[in-house]
Amino acid sequence: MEPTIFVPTDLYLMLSAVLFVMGTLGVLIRRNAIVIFMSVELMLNAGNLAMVALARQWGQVDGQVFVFFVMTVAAAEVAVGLALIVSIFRTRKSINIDDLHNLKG
Amino acid sequence: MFLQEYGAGRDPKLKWTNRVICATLHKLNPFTHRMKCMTEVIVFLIVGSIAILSAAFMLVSKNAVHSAVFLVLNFMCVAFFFLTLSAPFIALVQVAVYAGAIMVLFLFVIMLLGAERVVGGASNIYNWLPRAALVLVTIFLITVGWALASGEINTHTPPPAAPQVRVIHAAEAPPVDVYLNNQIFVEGVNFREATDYHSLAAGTYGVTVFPAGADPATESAAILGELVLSNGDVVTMVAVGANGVFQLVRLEDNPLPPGPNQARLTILNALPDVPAIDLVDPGLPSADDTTVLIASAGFAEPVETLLVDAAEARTLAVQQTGSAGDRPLATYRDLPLMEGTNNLLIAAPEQLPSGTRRIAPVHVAQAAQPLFGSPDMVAQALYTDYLLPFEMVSVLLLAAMIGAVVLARHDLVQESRPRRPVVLRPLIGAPTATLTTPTQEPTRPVTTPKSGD
Repeated sequence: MEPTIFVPTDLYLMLSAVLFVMGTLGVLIRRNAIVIFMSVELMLNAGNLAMVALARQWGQVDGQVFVFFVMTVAAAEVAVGLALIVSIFRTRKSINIDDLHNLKG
Repeated sequence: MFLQEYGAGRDPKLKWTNRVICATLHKLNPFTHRMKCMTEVIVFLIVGSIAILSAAFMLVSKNAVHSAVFLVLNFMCVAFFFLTLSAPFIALVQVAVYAGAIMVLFLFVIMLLGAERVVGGASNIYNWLPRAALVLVTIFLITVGWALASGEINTHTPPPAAPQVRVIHAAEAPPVDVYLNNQIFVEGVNFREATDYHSLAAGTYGVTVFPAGADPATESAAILGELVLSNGDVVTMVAVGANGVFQLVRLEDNPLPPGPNQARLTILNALPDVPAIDLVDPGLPSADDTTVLIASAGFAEPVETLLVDAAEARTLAVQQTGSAGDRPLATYRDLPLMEGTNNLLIAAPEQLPSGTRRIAPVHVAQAAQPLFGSPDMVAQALYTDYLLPFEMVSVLLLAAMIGAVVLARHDLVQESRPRRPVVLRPLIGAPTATLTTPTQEPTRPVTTPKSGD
């Protein structure tokens, strides 16, 4: 009664690597703080995909539990990060991160 | 699912018609298998390219709202992959939390700030960054591809599940210890008692059973047996017998859950004096007032299991085969047959402390293992092994909630604004700037937010 694997885990890991790389590119290239945040979410998702693929590979549910935690942490991160962006926008009138290059208020 | 049933083609317990059908399907197996494989890979490639394309469009969209919508599409594709990777619960959470809640938050903030377009006037001091990033990610992708290509892990077949074994004591004997290969396996199993399942490595084990507390080095074993375990087996060993003659019965358990609102029922005849027993339901009307559920279970013979509707309490009885209408050998009164359980009924001989002998109705219920990746399984892991991380993450969420409220508070932002003069020059010029600050003070008053509050 072994479940048959049709699509090998390799393909999922490769897809996950590509998505992660696109998230990294977004963080490095884009200057809009909100889009950078979205790219971070994309990277987290790529990590989740790899974890779920490996959870199936090893027949262990732990990977899925970690994905659950990652999602929760991502939700917390988005809540705080967007609040930060809102308050920065109030004082700076901009969310271009190149405008935020000195530490003095 | 179809494919998994092929293996049953060689199962001698099936009817011969089923065996013929299974064998035919088995011959067709390579063809249908290849078709299914092709279909799955093609679907994977299509959805995977949608995921990559939507991520790319997210990157290049000038409008942040478009980026958000493309990201939702990407999340949906990933949710689809979670479904194909047998993680339905995670897929649902992905859609509800990620594509739903988090993206709504993003869109809300974008529209609140009116920041869907990048504010112009960016200082392009990091012109080299995109090129450096491209080089870096290319190196990363090559490394990952090389690692996957040269890896030794077989990613095409799942690892075998370790065999699981439990022991049930249904013999007319005092408590027993069970040894596998002369190593203690379970200790002090009482009559009617079932142990938990234990994982073992596949292989052949010599089984010896001793009265509880006996020294295996000096005393002779009550039962000698052999246990052959291969990967994926889920086995129940039942000790049966009476009057000093004991033996072990091996039962193959089905760990998968029965259908919805069903319970699995099987019976074992552990009475050496009774050649065959029937499991009957005295509550059902029929020609001779009883209905046989499982017929003629021989002594120590495993019988096929039966799927019955789950019931809070059902009265069943055990009768000697061919003695319809006689008083039943034993009666299970108000037997709880809960949904999703495997119920093993054993008619076992028992000697009461008073010396009288009777037939004990033994009932062993075991919740079937939840399907891999089902909410049941994830919840079990969350509430047993991962309870502490779960609580910590909950506290983190609470802290983040409070933090977001505090950060976004209007008055707090204003108070934290520095009252001292603002330096408009880069930090390098700071010493000279501080000298001239008094005159610069009125040039940049404290700004108050115009919108969005």
